[in-house]
Amino acid sequence: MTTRAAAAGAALRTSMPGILLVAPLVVFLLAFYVIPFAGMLRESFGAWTGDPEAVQAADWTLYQYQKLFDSARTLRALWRTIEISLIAVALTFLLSYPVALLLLRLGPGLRSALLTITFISLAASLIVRNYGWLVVLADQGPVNNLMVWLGLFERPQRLVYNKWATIVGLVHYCMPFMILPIYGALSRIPRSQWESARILGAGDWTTLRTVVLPLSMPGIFGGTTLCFAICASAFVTPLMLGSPATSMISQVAAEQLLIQLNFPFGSAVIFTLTALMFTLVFAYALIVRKVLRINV
Amino acid sequence: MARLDLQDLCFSVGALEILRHVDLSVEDGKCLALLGPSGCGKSTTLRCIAGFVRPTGGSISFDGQSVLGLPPHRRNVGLVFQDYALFPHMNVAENIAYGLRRRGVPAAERGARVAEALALVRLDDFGDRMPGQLSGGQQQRVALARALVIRPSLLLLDEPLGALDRRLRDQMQVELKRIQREAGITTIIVTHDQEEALSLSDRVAVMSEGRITETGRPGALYRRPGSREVMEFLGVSNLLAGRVEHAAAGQIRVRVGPSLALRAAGAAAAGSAVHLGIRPESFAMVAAPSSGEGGANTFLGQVTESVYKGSHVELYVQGPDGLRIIVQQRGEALAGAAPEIGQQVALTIDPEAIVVFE
Repeated sequence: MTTRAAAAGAALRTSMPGILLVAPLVVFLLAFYVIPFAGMLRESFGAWTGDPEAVQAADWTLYQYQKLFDSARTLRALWRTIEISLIAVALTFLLSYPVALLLLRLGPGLRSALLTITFISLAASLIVRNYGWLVVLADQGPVNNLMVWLGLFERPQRLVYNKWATIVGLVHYCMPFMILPIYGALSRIPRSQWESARILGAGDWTTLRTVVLPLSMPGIFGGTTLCFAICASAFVTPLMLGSPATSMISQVAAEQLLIQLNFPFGSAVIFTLTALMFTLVFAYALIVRKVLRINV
Repeated sequence: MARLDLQDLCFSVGALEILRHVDLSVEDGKCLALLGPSGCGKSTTLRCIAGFVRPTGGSISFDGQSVLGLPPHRRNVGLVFQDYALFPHMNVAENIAYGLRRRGVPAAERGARVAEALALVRLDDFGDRMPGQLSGGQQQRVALARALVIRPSLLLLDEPLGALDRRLRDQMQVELKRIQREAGITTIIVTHDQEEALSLSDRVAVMSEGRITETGRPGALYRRPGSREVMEFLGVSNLLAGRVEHAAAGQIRVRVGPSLALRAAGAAAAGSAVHLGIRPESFAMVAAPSSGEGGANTFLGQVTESVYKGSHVELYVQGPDGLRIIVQQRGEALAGAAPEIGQQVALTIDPEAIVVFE
């Protein structure tokens, strides 16, 4: 049975060109990503100034981008988005790596239990989870009560509607997407790699730092990139846990697209964010390749 | 450099006994091969010595000092893994320098010692290469240099030639012997390959089912093994069951069938049941078959299969009383005329070449 299935698989591999296997995905991406995105890109070079009465000056103009880089509020939101995302990714990584290491050491039963717990949080809707954080971090919430009881503060502190509450929400959301790729990479490191570092004189920490960490880099790269993309495009979490003063770039874009109905400017914001993220991820991959000499 | 002593080493997982009272010593600078089939406990013994496995009983000492309390990174042991386990993200020089860095050797000395180690394994110009760019044999030599550069008390080799192809194996066998001799380091080789064990070591310890069944010099162990199991494990052999007919000083006559009795060097009480072990290459083919049982230890047989192996020919011979015997003859001894299938041959065997097992 298994051999027949394997033979069928081999036959499929040889008879079916690779392009056919990705065709559904290509069609989907073309229809729902590339074409709309191209339309948005075109729109962002439009001259609409927000005044329906104004005459269009030209078909193609950099007016929206000029406006974007002249707007201190938009630039601050862009910078804040990068800052919040980097902090959230760093915290997610620090919390997730030990969990991935633990997964590696557990027996099969405990491992699937821990993985289930990790992923079960994704089953609840984002709004429900953020609402949970609002309750936990509320003025009379458990975190505040604990801090007052421990004598850290005399009275409850305002913990929500700021940058750090947003970061907490993002870290919570991102952890499964960080743990899984790192665990995958760790489980592919042969036992002899750990052992040869040990026998050559490295203690646990040194083994982790000089061998395990570099060799799990493909997983770290995958996890951090994925989480960075999730954080940088976050909309609901900063809306619920942050304040207008700590709004992220998606909120600025949404306001233009949904409330102001200024599609060219909203598109310019979205495209700037996308271009910035591609640049950052590309630079990240380049650094990992050149400095650590690991292919990711 | 150190002397290694294992005393009464035991290891069990639950009710499963993996090592049962292993006693083993290796003299300073000598090379011992731990030989046995997979699952016999030889790898576990190696992992106990390296410190990856904590034995449930017994002691391990280097130069009389117990190392049981030391973690692997404090034992100062060099280990070459079966898959070499070179760090793929470091070049050859960095791989070799890894153990020196961990020992805080200053950069200048580090460079000199890495160069020295590369010279020892004859890879002088390979320092800048990445492990992925090296062949299997080169990778193994880098692993060996990496293990030796820290000047370990003990060198452990796990199936050192297992992953190499035939030609490279023969080449590395010679290289390994030279390097071990030049470094003068106490070495333990774990292997399931009898040829590897016999050719590389000063002494061989045969293991089976968690015990050391026999220890000896390679030649002695091959020619006069102490048990049938060891004889069978150390290469092809013929085992004939029989009963001692006549016992005299230093020689016995054993009846192996109604029409065949063989004289063998050894001692056994008349009337006792014994097994005779004969190596295939110990038989000689006699040109003119003498009639009947005539000559001493000579008998007639019919060739049922003939396998050409280059340097020698392997013959499957149907002897008297239905005995099936494997015979090896060197190519030149046959003078180009290998017996054909169905042909009658006369075989003779020197009584001294027969090993008697009670």
